[in-house]
Amino acid sequence: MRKTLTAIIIPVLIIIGWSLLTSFNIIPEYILPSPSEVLNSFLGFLGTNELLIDTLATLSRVITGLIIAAAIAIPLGIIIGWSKKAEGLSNLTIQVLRPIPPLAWIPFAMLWFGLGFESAVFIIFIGTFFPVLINTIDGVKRINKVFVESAYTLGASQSQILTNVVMPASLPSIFTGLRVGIGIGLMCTVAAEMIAVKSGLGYLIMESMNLIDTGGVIVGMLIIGIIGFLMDYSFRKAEKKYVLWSGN
Amino acid sequence: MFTALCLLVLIMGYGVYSHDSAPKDTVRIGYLANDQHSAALAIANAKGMFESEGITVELQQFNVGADIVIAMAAGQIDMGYVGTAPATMAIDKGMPVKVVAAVNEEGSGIVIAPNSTINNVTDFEGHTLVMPSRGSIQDILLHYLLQQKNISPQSIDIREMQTSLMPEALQSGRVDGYIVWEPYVTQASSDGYGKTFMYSGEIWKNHPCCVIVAGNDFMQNHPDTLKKILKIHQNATDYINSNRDDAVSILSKQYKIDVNTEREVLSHIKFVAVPDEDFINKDLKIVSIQRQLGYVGHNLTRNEIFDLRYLP
Repeated sequence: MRKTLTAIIIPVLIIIGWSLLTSFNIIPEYILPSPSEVLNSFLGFLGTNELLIDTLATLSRVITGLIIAAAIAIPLGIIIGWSKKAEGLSNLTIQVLRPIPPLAWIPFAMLWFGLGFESAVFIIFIGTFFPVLINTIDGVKRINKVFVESAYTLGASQSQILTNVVMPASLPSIFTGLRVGIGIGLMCTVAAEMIAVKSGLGYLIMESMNLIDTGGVIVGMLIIGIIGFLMDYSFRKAEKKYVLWSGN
Repeated sequence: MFTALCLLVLIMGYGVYSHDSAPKDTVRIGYLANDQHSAALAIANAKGMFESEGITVELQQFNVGADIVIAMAAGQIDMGYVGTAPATMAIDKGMPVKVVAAVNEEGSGIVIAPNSTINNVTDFEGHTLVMPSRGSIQDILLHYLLQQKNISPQSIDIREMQTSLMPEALQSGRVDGYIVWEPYVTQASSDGYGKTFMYSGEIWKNHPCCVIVAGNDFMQNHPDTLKKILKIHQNATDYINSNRDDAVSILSKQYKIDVNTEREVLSHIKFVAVPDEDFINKDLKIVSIQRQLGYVGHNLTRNEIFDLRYLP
């Protein structure tokens, strides 16, 4: 209870400050819409189901992008982290591809995957892939050598060590990678939903911007923020429950 | 380590130094990237018309009209060449801006693939058509066209796309057509990847398109500069209309477009600096379409939209 109270102090202060600034017209409404204007936009969207459809659309793209990214990045990360040869082979490529902004992939996403779901998922995949990969590699590399050597001494084979020692021991890092990945995936939604899609929170933000509805922009921003918080929260809960050795 | 730190400081220093900070008396004018409707601005700049009046201008490029009016409301720019649709949306939202001059009529068009089977507007039903952004003048024109032909907008897959991606989308068959501003309409035919389905003049003859908007602050504090700039705008507009060959040669270099294409592009745009009664009435009609679409909340009056006192 006390923790919850502490956590809401800053948001409450922000809303109070925001209301004061806008209600006394220190900041005009068209530069920063007032909390009540945002609430009005929110209620307006609720009336049409639009917000629910946009939220589901974005969620499905982010989750699909993350699952595909994880399915490729986690095994790849374990291999690269485990084998010096694999690392030598892939390091240059990864480091060159990693900093490219997802936005830059938009023309190719459209040409390769068309308009809609697939191209949006591709952009989110690009954003989430590298944090998961890098954290997995890091997790494997940081494994206490004593664990691996003891397993060898006890007669474990290479594949047994990978599945029974390396994978569980790197799980905390993998979870961190997934959590970072979710955050970046959500950050990519505006870029992902620029490719002629007709729904989604990123789309809602851009659409509201084009129609000069700043209240709508803030509604979209807040919902993305809340989704990010909830997803991160559930990942941390899952980590606590299933990765008992994570030390969290 | 020390070298690395020095390098970082140098790079940061470059960022601060190269940051656009216009001197106080510079007039900051926004315009849309690669939009030939603002050819008068390009001509005025290329012919040194601002310098000869002793005015320093800084031209700032934007991707969509809404960003221009938002930047103006935030005090980032003083004036802008922008579609009338974003301008009226901004005025409707209470932003302190006014339309102070006209820029052009017509100048947009619908492009389809060269081998397209679409022959009339009803053929678009069930096909994908993209436009630059919702709320743009192209959006309004498209709705106007569909209304005239009694076609429900729902029967066409209408989406939004950045103009620069449209040619690729059409060539790769991802979209069946797009409505866009010049030079993208004519360029599609001259480069062979598309053909013009309809010019916007055929959708709505002499429809208003771009206008010059100015921020209220700028209008009140620098009325004489504004008058001078609008005079320049009118001279540049006249120049395009009366010295076509020279204008074509200047603009084709500026926009890096072949001379013949450029001539064709200009022939589909009607350049006007002073909005006549017809322009104003049609602009009010645009507001009523915006009202139907829910883009504006009020029926704006001509005095709320226009302030034409600064025109020559």
